[in-house]
Order: sequence, then structure tokens, then C-alpha cells
Amino acid sequence: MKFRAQMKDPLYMREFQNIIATLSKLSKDCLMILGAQQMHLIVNEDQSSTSSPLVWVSIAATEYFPEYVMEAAHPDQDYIVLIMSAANLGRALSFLRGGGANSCKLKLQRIQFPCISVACSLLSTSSTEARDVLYDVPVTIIPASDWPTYVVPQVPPSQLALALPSLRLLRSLIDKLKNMSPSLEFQANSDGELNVVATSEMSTVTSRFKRLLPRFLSADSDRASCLVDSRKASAFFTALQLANEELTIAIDREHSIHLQIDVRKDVMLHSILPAVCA
Amino acid sequence: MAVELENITNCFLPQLVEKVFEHYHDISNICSLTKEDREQLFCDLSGLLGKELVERSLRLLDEYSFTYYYSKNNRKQCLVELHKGTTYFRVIPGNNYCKCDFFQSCVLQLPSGILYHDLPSGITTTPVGWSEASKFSYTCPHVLALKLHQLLLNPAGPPSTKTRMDSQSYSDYKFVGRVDHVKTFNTAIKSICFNDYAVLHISDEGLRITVEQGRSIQATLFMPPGAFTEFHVQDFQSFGLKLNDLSECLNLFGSADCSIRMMYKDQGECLYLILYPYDDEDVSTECAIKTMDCEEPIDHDMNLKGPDLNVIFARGPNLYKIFHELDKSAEEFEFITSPDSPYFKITTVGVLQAVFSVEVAKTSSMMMMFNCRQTVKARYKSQQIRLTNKAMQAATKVAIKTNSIGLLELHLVIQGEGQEEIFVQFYVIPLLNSVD
Repeated sequence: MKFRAQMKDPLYMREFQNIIATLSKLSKDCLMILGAQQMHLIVNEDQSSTSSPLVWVSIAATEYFPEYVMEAAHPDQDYIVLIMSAANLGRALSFLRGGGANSCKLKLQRIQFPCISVACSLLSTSSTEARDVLYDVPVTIIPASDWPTYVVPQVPPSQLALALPSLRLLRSLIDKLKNMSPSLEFQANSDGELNVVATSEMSTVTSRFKRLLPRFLSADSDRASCLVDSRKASAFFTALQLANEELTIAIDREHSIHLQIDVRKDVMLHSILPAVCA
Repeated sequence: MAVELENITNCFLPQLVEKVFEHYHDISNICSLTKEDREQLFCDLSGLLGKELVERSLRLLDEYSFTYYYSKNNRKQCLVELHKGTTYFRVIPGNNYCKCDFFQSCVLQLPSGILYHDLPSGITTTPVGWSEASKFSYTCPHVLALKLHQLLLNPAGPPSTKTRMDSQSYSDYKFVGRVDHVKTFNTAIKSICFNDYAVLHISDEGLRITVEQGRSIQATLFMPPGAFTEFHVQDFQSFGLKLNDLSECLNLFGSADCSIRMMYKDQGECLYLILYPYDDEDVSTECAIKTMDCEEPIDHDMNLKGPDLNVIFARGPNLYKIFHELDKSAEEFEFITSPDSPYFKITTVGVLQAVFSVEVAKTSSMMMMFNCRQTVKARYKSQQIRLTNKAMQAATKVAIKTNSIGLLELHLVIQGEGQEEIFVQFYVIPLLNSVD
């Protein structure tokens, strides 16, 4: 079993750090599925608190890592599956935040226990020598027999998807709306209008986002709506560290809302907010 | 002529053209332009810019395709491509600039062919077929064609920053009010938000929101029509609502500035608030707050009329500092206002009868007016005085009035950035044992 990956571009390193930081705010544990071409990071709905949603990120290895080597334990296996503490991984990568990093290497190795070693080479202002920071994040290797429980979630079907150009207003709105109502209704129509409705005992608050780009329409979908838990929605938006990216909101009538952020062409962050009863 | 000439003769050509477009844009917002309107528009433009230019623009409008490109993150940024076959021109809406040769030579008066060697081959180097009269022009046909396109063919038009409601729909509502900057209103509402229920009174005089707690303290927010950008009311409207909901709605966009419109139809209907943040004109929030019937609050104003009042006007920030420094653990505050020394004195009586007092001389620079006829000494619950803190913090001026039995009125003026004033009044009933 072998895994090694290296990042060199400061912009990509910061993006990768932001992705991990987002995940570490949502849940304790993070699942990492390493494929030959893809890296998947998944945080599941936290058992201890019901407020964080399922979020996963799929990264095309070639996009972020100029060097990416993955050899599974057996030649006939396609993956390495690991579980680690999201907070630890976030801390290990926090050195990338300042932007002074030269390169960052991820390597799976066994010291006394299996771990992912994160080696960041940092440039300091005071000296010309680069400083290396090594951080070992303990991991649990999931044997192939348990893999069926750990699969990458599927993007759910949807009737209508709209692209929201900026997250800033929606994020602060949802944060305020969660104090008003336990559930939020997302209504979308094919004219590119998204309404977020919060209903409380004495008031109804409807936020309208107009002129959004419809991304996907199924034949019979003029409009679609879904009621979701406002704390879950808020948890996703509060945790999100990828500012000012375009968000796609896809609604599966009465079932779920699928949120997708395209960080790059082959780097996507997904989340699913399941529907609740009114 | 549709645009009045007297008003505009002192403007220059660019403003004139702007004005013509604004005028017709206003018309088309209400109803689509009629044939006569269009004729008049073309006539107006021909008069200003020359017949030839307008005719060529109209021909472009017929023959060329217009494609609008919007930037991903900012929908306000837009580029328009006018194209036909391999010929294309790119113009930015709102900017009077074009790369075409006519613009270079006849508008900018540049010698032809020195700029832009990389022009696409479809564009000829000298403007052919233009008459002498067009040698000095304000703009080129492409820019004008785009303006016409936005006005005539693109009903959504350039996003208008003004949100208007035509006068017809006003008649459905008994009250319509618009405030351009929500910040001051929001601070004022927050400062009286000490109880759940509030009563709203709306009349020609303005908007009044009254909150009471246990009949011993009352706060009233008063907004005169001048504090609104728009204010329409029919008769006298009065209803109750949950103040927390109102405050939360006003606060939805957090620190982002927004304008707000309030509407109320009739008894039993909701109060509608619509917020429009300035950052993004495609976003708006509509809040419907249920209203209820409620009993009339006590009118303390009656008791505070007459000649035997002690009145002090003070500067808000100074007074806030004094109130802020008062002993927070104290149970009771004693106020003394007097024509003689100590003039104005606040004493706090804390646990174990610890006493702390502040005196302000009538000559102090924080006093704007001092008019006391008699010595009034009264005690108030410190909890209730502290409810005025938030309002005091925002106030620019404070009037302190007491009558002979010690009924205290704090009248605060909160001033917004646009100099509009919102008034907040607190009436505090004195404690009984003060008469000793």
C-alpha cells in the first residue's frame, strides 16, 4: 500500500487548505477515499449532533497534485480507504493558510501506527532557508471487506437547479433565519428565481434571489420546492470557507436539496440537505 | 416636445441625451412605448444627434445581433457584442466609447489609422458614406444602437436601481413608507426592544411605536414623515405586533446597508416589510408580520404639560458617559433637578446602602439648556433607567423632563447619516417611597 502526493502551486494549496478547513468545521471524522485518479473526502452527518449535514469533496488528482502516486494493498483493488480526525488534518494543513508555503507533501506511512504525514516547506521572511514542518496525522485503514459501508455518495436526481453567483448575502441571511424558524423552504422556478421562506408563529420572511441562471431543468419542472432543517443549512454555510464561489442549488421535490460548489473544473464540493416535515 | 425645453437648455449634450433616455425609460417602465412615443423619441434624438446618426443606429438595430455577456461574479458588469457575419463591435453599456473608426475620427477627432492596428479586417479604416454634417459627432451609431436596444427590445432593460411602485397600487394600502437607509431605524427599534409587544400608531404626523413594561415604564419611537423618503397614510392606523420580529426582520442583512419599504393594508392584515440590500439588486426580502388588536397605552404626555416642569437639554454622548459609569449593582437611582445647587444630581443607592453620586452644574458644557423652576427629588428603579442605555448610546441630544411628582421623561434624538431625525421617548414612573 502506497500513497504519495505533492502540491506546489500556492493558490491550489490554499484552496486545498480551505476545503479541509470547511470539512473540519463540520464533523469530527473525515473519510478519505484515494483512487487512481481521484481523491474523495467525506464528512458524514455527525452522530453526536444532528445539525451538520453530509458533505463530500471530489478532487481530480491531476488538478491539485503534480505528483500523485497511489498503489492499493492488492493489485486487484482500486482504492485506499482511510479515516482520520478532520481537526487534525485541518491543523496539519493550517500552515498553508499564510501563503508562505513552497510545497506540501502528503504521504501515507507507518511509524508506530499508520498515519498521513503532511510535510510543508515554508518560506520565512527572516531567512532564505526554507523551514520544513512535519505533521503526522494518525489514520485508521479500512479493510476492503468493509468498503461497501464507505462509498462516495451519489448526487441525487433533481428537477431544477439554479446557480447563485455570490454566497455572501445568502450565508448571512440563513444565519439570521435559523433563529426565526426551525425549517426553511427553498422554492425555485425556471425563470431563475429562488425564494427562501422562513415561517414562524407571527411572521413569514421570504427572501427572493432573482435572475439566477437555471443550470438544469427536467421536462416537467416549472417550479420545485423543498423544506429543510434550518440548522443544517446554516451549519453548511457557516462552515464554508470557500468564499465567493458560485453555488448550484438543485432541488429534488420533497426529498432533498443538493448543494454544489465548483471550486475548479474537476474539484467539486457537494452537500445534501434532506427534506423535513413541516 | 415631451421633455420640457426650459428645464434643460442649460445642460450640455451628453446630459440632454441621458435625459431623453431616462424619460423614455420611465415611460416604458410603466407601460410599453406606444407608436407615438417611439416616433417622438426618434424625433428628439434626431434633433440632438443628427438624423443620419439615428437612422444608422436604427439600421444597426435591424441588421445586427446583440449578445450580452455578464461577468460571473458581478451581474452588473456587462459587455455587449454587436455582430453580423464576421464584423463585430464590442461596447460597454453606459460608456460612450467604441473602437469603430467613426468614433475614432468623428468623435475623438483622431487622425485615422494611428490607433488599433489589430482591428478586425471587417472594419474599414475611413468612415465611408457619412455626410459633412456628421464630421463632429457626440457618439457613434454602435453606442446609440445599444442604448436603443436596451430601451426598445430588451424589456428587462438595464437594471434599474430605483424600486418604484406605481401610484395605482398605493390605493390598496392604508400605509406605505419607505426609508432609504435602514441603519438608524434599526438602532432606534433595538433601543426600545425591551418587551415583546408593541403598538404602532400611524397618522399624518408620522409613525409612533410604543412599548410598555408593567405600566411603569413606557418607550415611544417617533418618526416624523420627514424621516421617511416616502410616506403615505390614510386616516389613523393603529395595531399591535411582536417587536422582536420586527427587529429581527430589519436586521436580516446584518451590516449590509439596505432600503426598506413598509406596507399595511387594513386591520387584521399583515405588516409587510420589503428590504432591498444595496449590494445586490437581484436580492430582496419580504417579511410579513402578523398584526393584532391591542389596548391603548397610557398617555403620559398629558401629565407632562404645564408650566411647573423642570426641563434640561443635554448632549447625548456626555450624558451616556455619565449613565454608563453609574453603579451597575445599585437598586435605585435618585434624580434631583433644582434651580439652585446641586442643579442636576444622580445618586445611586447600592447594596449595603453604598452611595455614589454625580452632580452636573448648569454651566457645564454638556448642558444645552437648563430650565428648572422647583426642586424635584425622585427615585427610580435602576433596572428601568438602564433600559434607556441603548437609546442613550445612539442619541445626539437628550431632554430630561420631570413634573412635581417626579414622573420622568427622557426624550432622545437619534440622528441618521442623512440628518433625518428619529425621536425616542421614555416615561419612567417614580418609586412611591420617594415622597418623604
